[in-house]
Amino acid sequence: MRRMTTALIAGATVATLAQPAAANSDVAAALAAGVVGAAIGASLADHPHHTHRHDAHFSPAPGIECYDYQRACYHADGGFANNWTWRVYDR
Amino acid sequence: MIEAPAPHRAATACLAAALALALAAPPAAAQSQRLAAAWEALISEEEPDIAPAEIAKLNTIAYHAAVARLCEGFDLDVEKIAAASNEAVAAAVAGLEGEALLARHADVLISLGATHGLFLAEGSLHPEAFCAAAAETRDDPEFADLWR
Repeated sequence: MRRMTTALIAGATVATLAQPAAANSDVAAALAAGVVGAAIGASLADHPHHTHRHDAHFSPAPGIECYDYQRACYHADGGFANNWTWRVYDR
Repeated sequence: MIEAPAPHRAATACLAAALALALAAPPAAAQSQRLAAAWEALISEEEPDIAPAEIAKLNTIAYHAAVARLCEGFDLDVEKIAAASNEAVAAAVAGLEGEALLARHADVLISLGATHGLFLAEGSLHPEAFCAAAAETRDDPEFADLWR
């Protein structure tokens, strides 16, 4: 985790963090506004309102399934397929 | 103005949120590692306007970090993942300035942290298949991975 954090800090700093205090405030604002909180609430609510509306997927190759809303491909037997995610969404 | 938390506290909150989602949502199918309900809860209709390719890049970064945490023989290449992070964040905020730039920047980091958490959850639930898929990805000669 520390290695990832180092990398992310490097990336974020180089990209945009000219005003770190303001950026941190914005993280707090985003959290307060429910960007994450709404998802937590939805997940933990007793009355499920998940309808799996985004479960639509397609298969670019045998054994591979891709989910547009997630921009991610998985092996049909389950595992995330990063190489296919790149091929389908990022090449 | 809201009091600013330390960055690591925000990241910890994101990770906790993602793991809470994962624990609350069982796999959609018995043979699947994909935590469909958790992804659906995370990716709301109000998601920030990030280009599909940039979302895919964030998935790649978050996944590589999760694999490095869970699978033996996989270590992050810090220079590569830093460069990928720079590219993804810079692309996501391109053309923005001021408050809009800072808001998008925050959205991207939150999304990255939560995505990382969900990949950790998927890998923790099915470590053998998760790491086998990572090995297959690393062996793909067309794909430039971010591990050493």
